[in-house]
Amino acid sequence: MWQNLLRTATLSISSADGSFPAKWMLDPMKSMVWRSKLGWTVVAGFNDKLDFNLGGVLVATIAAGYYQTGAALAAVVETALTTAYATGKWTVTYDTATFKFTILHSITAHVLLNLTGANIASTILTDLGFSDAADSSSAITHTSDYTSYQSRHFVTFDLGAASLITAVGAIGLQSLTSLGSVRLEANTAGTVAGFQSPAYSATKVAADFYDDGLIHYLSQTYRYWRIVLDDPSKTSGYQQIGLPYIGGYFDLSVPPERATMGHGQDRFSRSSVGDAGSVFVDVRPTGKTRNIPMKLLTDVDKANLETMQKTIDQRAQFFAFDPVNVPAQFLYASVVVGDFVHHMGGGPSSAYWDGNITVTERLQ
Amino acid sequence: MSGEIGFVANRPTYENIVESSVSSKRSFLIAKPTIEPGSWTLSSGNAYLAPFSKTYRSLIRDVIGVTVEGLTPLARAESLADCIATPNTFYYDPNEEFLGESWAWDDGIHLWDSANIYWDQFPSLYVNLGGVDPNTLGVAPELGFYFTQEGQSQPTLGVDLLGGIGMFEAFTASVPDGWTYAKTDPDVVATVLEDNANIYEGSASVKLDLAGATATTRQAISALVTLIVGKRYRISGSYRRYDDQACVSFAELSDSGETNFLAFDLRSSGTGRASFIFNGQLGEWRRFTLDFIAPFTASKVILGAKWSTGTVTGGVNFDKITLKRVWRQATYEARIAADGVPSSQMGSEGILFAGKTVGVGSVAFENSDGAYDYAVGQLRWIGRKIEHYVGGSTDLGEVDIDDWDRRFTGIVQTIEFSDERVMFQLDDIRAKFHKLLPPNTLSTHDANIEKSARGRVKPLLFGSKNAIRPWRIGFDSVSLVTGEYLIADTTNWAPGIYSIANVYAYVDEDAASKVDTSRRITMNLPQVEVAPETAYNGMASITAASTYQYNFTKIAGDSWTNNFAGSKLLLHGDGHVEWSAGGVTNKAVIVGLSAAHDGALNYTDINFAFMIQADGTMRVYEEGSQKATGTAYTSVTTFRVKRTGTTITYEYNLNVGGGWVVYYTSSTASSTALCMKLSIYTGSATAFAVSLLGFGQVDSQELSGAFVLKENVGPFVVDLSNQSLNFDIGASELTATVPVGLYTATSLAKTITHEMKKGATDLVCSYSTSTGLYTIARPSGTLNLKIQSGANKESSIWGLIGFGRGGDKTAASTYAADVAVDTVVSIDTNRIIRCDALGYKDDAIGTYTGTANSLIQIGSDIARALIRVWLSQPASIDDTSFSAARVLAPEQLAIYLNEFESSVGIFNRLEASNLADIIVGGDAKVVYAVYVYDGEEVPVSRRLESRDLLEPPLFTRINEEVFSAVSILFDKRPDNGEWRRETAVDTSKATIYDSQILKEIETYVLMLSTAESLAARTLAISQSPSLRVHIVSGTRLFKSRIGDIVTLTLNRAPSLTGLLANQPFRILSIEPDVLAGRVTVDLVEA
Repeated sequence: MWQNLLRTATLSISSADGSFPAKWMLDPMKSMVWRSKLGWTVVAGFNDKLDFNLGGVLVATIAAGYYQTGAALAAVVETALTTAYATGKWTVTYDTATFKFTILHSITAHVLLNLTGANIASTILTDLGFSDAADSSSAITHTSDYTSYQSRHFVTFDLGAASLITAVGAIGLQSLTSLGSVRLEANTAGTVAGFQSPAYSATKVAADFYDDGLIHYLSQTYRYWRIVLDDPSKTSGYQQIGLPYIGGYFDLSVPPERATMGHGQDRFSRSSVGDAGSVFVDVRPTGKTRNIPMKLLTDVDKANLETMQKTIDQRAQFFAFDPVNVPAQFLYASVVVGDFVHHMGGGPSSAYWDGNITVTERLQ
Repeated sequence: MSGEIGFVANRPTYENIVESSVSSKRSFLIAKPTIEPGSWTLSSGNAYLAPFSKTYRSLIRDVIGVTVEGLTPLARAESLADCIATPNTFYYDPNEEFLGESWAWDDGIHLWDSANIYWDQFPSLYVNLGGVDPNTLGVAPELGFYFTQEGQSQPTLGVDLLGGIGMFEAFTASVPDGWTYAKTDPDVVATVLEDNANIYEGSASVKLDLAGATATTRQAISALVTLIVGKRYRISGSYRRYDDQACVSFAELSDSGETNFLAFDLRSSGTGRASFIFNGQLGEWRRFTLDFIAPFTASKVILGAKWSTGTVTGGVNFDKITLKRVWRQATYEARIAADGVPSSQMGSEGILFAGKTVGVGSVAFENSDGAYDYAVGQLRWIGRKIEHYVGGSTDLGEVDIDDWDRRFTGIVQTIEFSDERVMFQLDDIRAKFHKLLPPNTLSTHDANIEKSARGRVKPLLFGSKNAIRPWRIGFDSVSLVTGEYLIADTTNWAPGIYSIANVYAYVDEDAASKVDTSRRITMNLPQVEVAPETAYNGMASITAASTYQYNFTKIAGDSWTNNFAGSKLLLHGDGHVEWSAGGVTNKAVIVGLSAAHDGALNYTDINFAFMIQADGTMRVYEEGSQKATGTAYTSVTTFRVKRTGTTITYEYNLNVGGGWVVYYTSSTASSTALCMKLSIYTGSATAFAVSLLGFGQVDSQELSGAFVLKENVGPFVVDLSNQSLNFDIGASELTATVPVGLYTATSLAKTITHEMKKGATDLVCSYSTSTGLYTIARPSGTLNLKIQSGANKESSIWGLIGFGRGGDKTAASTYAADVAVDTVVSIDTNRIIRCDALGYKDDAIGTYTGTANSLIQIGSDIARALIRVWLSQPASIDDTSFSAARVLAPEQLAIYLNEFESSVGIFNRLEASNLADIIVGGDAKVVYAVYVYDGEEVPVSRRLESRDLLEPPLFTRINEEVFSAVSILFDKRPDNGEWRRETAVDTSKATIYDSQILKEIETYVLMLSTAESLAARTLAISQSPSLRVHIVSGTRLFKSRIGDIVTLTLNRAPSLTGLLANQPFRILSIEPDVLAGRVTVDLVEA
């Protein structure tokens, strides 16, 4: 995958730490990451509604803004609930021992509409740690189901025009908790409100990760794409993306020659052997290498590979490796194609080529 | 990636990395280019602001330092309010949040908006220069650029908000200074102890020992600190758990009342104690970091130990605790290639001290993608710093940034830009120490400066130096004669010089060169009280009452007019004459200051006189006019007539040691030169203990490092060939014989007067400084000068005082000389002046010597002053080593620089003088390491065995380093550059090695005894070929430096035993290669 359309895309984000700007997602260096602000960011139309039933269905609208601490967020939620239903007293707190929010109405039992609320597409209850499996029972006090250290975050990409996308991925992600997910959405409208009901959506969880990356195959044509990082229980308090990928891919028509395929490692560690046989090692990270011999590549395969080489040269690409009977792998790597050798030596079967693909993981 | 808020304990120390044979060592480069800010506008108070927003690599770059022309680098204020309130600070927050959802800006004038809502808001840099407008100075904001080998994020930290108390170096009543100690069970646990045995850094750590605790108990130390709520901070430090896992060590952060605590999410607060628990191997130092968002303003840092189970036997040590603002998370880009960072090398030039070679080379970062093209092109890199740190990780994790080792600080000399990479040729920070001294020169066109001095340097003077040839740089603005002489330049040194010990006028250059004490006049110095040399008559005796006092006893009976004494010395400025009642209250004596040279024969002839009377009372007379009377004095009362500025006061002191009482203040201003005059009324009585203090011929001006000669100091040489003077007053010829000796113009006149009065009591000889003419006069009656016909005309003094020998002088009573004698003009080139002086004085708080206002004369103190002031590197002193060197090398040194000399050469001589290594460390700190190895135990980390070596050791002995004798050249004379020399010889050793080379070493040693010792010590090092070893070790010597002692244990060596067993060696040169994990070291026998 080398046709990353994000290089020319316009980004909009829910928030960014001043030290980790959003543009760094477009930097090919993996360690240059975008990082959300620490804590909770409330964005109108994304996570600013709280549906509840207290003598009737009501909705509270939380003031959009950045809230570094749970106490700060609790205060604005309380204000919003009071605005929506002024009788009695609302008390919203954040417990710094359990890291859960509690919503209390002084008089009346009520139901939090975690599942059935009319504004569930922009609910804040998820950010507060409430499960979306079912609405709450009716009670005066509701404590969130899960811990919450941060809100959900999103990055929206405007490709400029509707484009056929067959692969979406990202590397440089934090690991997800068991509750967390990464959701890919696509839509014809790029506004926050428009994405409340996206035309396309797919969700990835921790089990889908390979190292610090994700890959997802699809075939959708849209102009606006959004990645939602949904993991409020992540204790770090922020989310990050090193390098996202939204574009195309091509799949070789033949599997590699498994018999001679090589899985190697770039061993960057250095060692010196002392005068008396002692060993001194400067330990460095290890990068994956893959040596993939290919046989009987078609002219189309050859043309694609040549185009890739011509287009991106040595720059790193997203490389998915998913042959039969071999665990799927997903690397951010440089992919170098060796010389093509005519398999049959000419004649009518000249459409078949042998070649070698070398993949070297980019650690940085 | 790292850089999230969080708590991490059991981190490795830098030492762990160094000493582990399996670790990850990483280089970190911080480059600090600059760019001119725009114009400054006054913000508030003394704080000015300039809009400043430099975006490179999509990131608004942080300003991590600000240097200002002529000032020490500005400190970063914690807040804008702090910046406004604190001079010499700057404030910058690139992550500043603005109103509105996104940033936008225009040109700063409200063109697109009418208020300060959106458009005009973008980061501003604030500086407070204490009232100085930054538009008038060069201001250089330093932007931070960060590179390493593997991309990662590290905090950019501010100053330690604990102010260094976390080093635990000072204790009061066993509690570390700045901390409060609390324990919950005083009966069980021991108290806080200063621990000098288990130290992470410095000389002590704090120990919290729970030994004996059997139930829930805790003890802790706490320190208050002010934070800004919502801002990010880091507490980091070293801890060492010992003896017992049941002792739990922890850190907490609370409000000042310990009511609310920082919660485990590290940004909220709650009422429950949230203890961040340290784990780690017992008995070993580990590091912890606690990154948090401050929930309180008044905050308390708590470090402690608490019981967990059973009976506790252990505790915990803490050391090197810091609390710093995290200004930003800096992403270190993975752009350093394998050869991007050179090894830094520093070596001695030989086995002896004096002289170092330094190599830093170049650093480079990859730029094939062109990401830094704009940054390189737009910013100023030349002359700016690049700092190189080493950190990394072991199995325990990553070393925190506070514990990184700063390998070197390079100054960019050259930038090489290619498509592939950007390379910086660096010089060591020592480049900042390469400067020609002295820095200031005398004017080339000032007509008042003697020609030979024009354009020459203004000298520097440290310590005590004799025979200084001062530059004549001006003239006395009052008398318009004689001259102002410069000893030492105080342009850069406000406290001035310590003192001027002596000023001499020599007869000629030959006498000065030979320091011929018989052919020079010693000038009077204002700070020295002297017994007044006088011209007198009618005195039975003049005896010394003390080293600075005379008793004058008259011969004849009661009368004011039958005796007289007048000082040869003139007081030209502030000063006084002082005397005592002398144990009696029944004598009449008058003593005072008078403008007339002499001739007073009555108490009415003294301008300002203090009279004591036989009735036990005192009076004030001014030229016979009584100004005050009637106050009683005692037998021990002392009296002064004193001039301060132009005011004359009459003071007395009733009791010895008591206070002075102003008896009368004259209404007559006085500014002309005054001499002491006295007369005694009571027959055979005595004027007791008369002394003079004040500005005589020399007006010393220590603050400006100069002095002014107030008179024509000559010297006038009177010998047997020119000592006689024949005259008559109408009768037989009289002869006055001037004693053989050297005189100033005035003292010669007074002496002639005195000698003539022996024949005729009303004769006066005087000298005019304005005309240069001597005059001999009699108030009335006959006076004939027998110049040609006198009996002693062959040995007459007439020629010396300007009277032509053509004939006698007759028919008048006043005779002026025919020619001016040795006329003094504004450019005086006739006088041969030399002086002895003590050089630069410390300031009022003892910044340089540890003692206020003392003489700077110890090697490390001199080096400190040179570095701080003359090399303008005030932050570059390693205070610990400099203070230690003051004790280890306390010898008096003296430096007089009246020619340009490289500061490096000066440091080389200091090294030779103290047997010391002056080393610039990687942190740009200068270390003054005195060589005093005397068999002390060497730290384990520096005990090397063969298994620690990467290559076979190479042993050498070098004939060129063997000397038959060592000559220490010391106490160089300022006026002619001659050295004194002390030589040490060992002929037996010289015979064995057939050595015939004499080693000469130039030093700043002042004393012969020091030179003797130095010669002997140096000869001991060099009289036989020392065993040198060239080794390549692993990283254990990473933190070592020149002069450190290491031991070698090797099973083969060219030694007496064929091996080395813990043999001590001194490091001559060291080259640590971080990336290769190798340290190349040259050693010599210690």
